[in-house]
Amino acid sequence: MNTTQTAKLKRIENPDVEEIVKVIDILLVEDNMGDVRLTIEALKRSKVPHNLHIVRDGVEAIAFLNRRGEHTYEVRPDLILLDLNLPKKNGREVLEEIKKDESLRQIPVMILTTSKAESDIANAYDLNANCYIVKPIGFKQFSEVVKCIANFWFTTATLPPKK
Amino acid sequence: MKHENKIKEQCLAEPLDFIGETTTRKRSVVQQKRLNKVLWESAHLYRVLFENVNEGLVIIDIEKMEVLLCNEVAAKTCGFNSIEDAWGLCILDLVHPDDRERALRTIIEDMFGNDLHQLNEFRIITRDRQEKWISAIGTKVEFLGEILGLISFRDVTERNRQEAELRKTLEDLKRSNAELEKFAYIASHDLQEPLRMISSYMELLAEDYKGKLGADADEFIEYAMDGAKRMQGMIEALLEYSRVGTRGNPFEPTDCDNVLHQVMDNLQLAIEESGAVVTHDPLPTVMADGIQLVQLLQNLISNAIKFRNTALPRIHISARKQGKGWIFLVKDNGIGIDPVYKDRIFVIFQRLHDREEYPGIGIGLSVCKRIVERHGGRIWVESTLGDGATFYFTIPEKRGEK
Repeated sequence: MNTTQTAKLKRIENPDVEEIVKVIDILLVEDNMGDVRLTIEALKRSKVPHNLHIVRDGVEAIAFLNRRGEHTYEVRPDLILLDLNLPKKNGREVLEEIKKDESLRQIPVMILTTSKAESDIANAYDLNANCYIVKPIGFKQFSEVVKCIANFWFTTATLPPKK
Repeated sequence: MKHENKIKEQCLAEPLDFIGETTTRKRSVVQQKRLNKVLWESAHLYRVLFENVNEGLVIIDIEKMEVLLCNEVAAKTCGFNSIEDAWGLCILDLVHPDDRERALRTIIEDMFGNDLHQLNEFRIITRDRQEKWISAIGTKVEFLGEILGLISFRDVTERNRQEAELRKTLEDLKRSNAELEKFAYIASHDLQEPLRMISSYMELLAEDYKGKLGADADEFIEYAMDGAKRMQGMIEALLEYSRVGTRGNPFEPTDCDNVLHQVMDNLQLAIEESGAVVTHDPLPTVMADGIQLVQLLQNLISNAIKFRNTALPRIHISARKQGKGWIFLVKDNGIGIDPVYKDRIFVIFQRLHDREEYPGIGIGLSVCKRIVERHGGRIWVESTLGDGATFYFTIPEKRGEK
């Protein structure tokens, strides 16, 4: 994927969002464009007002969160959707860094992956992942899952205050 | 060489005078007894035996470990042109330097160690510089008041080579099996990724464009989605199949009555819906992976329910002792199987019916087969088309994991 596409995808503003409604910022760390698009579609259908920020590898994820380089003016996300298998720096390392960082560790991190391996699941929780979700096969189920995440974190749960 | 001379003298003392009698068809008891006596006393007979037995025989001076006499087989095995060439040779000179101490110790132990008669295998270097493996036994013999050593041996080079080859083949087979399992696991796991893309986007397409692209498009999407769904099922089946070997638990004493109760619980809905009557005899406790036994019986019983006839399904499970293990029977009154297909049904993804009639992907029995084989048993079916089927499987009493 070229840079223009990345730039275009980086911030997808939900057109339905009205000014007054609280808009949540989601960081999606995902290298597969197919999954990125699926998440966009699923979130769109969830009707939860959101801004989706997309990064394609672990190094960029850390840069985004630390507001380094081209991410200087980015916002701090309310929620992170993290894939485990990523180029450069994998999801486990990203998770570990987030949870070790005092300024970042309050942000809920959802592991969203295809791996059903028990070792991966145990490891993610060991590293203080907030939850672990295996990507379902079909879109309908995936859409359900995303809707579930959105509803839980933005309606049911109360998020930590924004820093 | 006084022993040698004594032996020679003794051997030549008796003339060959009984051969004619052995060929006489009918012998009187008296004649028979006479023959026995002659044979027993005939030094010549012993010479004939010594020379013709298919085993290397060496008589040695125990103190010097020197060859006093040997037979043709011994001389040939050790690479001598004639028997005489071996005379006076210290037998340890023939033994491979690395094996000398062991060979000496074990043979001497044999000779004086209360009839241990242990088989000792060691290497020799023949006169023509060949390395051979021999298996030897040493015995102490008394001959005309002197204690001599008798070593009998045979060349096991070829046997050892074949054994080593067999062992290697077995190891290769084990390794390639393990690799195949790993391959199936990884392949099916990685195949899920692109498949997820296909089925997800097909669904998305169907959701957003159904009825907008025309009836043909709707139909095409339907088929594509059906194909993706089936492939998903097959990949999961492949994973399940490979897990039999990779995710198995160690064998423990497993009460098959408990196993069956668990299966019945799991199949409760199917049993109720079909009106099936499942009966069983008391079942034994066997060394097995309990979880896999549940899987095995569950597959067989749910098959018996699935492939039922017009009559209410009746399924009976029994077991009987067979040799060093148990043979289990799962008998039903279902549609049966044409014996032509009795092997094919155990092959993964092989099905005998169309998907509309009996849905499924053809995994159940292949998993059953793998489970039984992992336990060192065998599975087969006896049936005639239209007249029920009986599945048999064996579980050996005790068996290390393959």
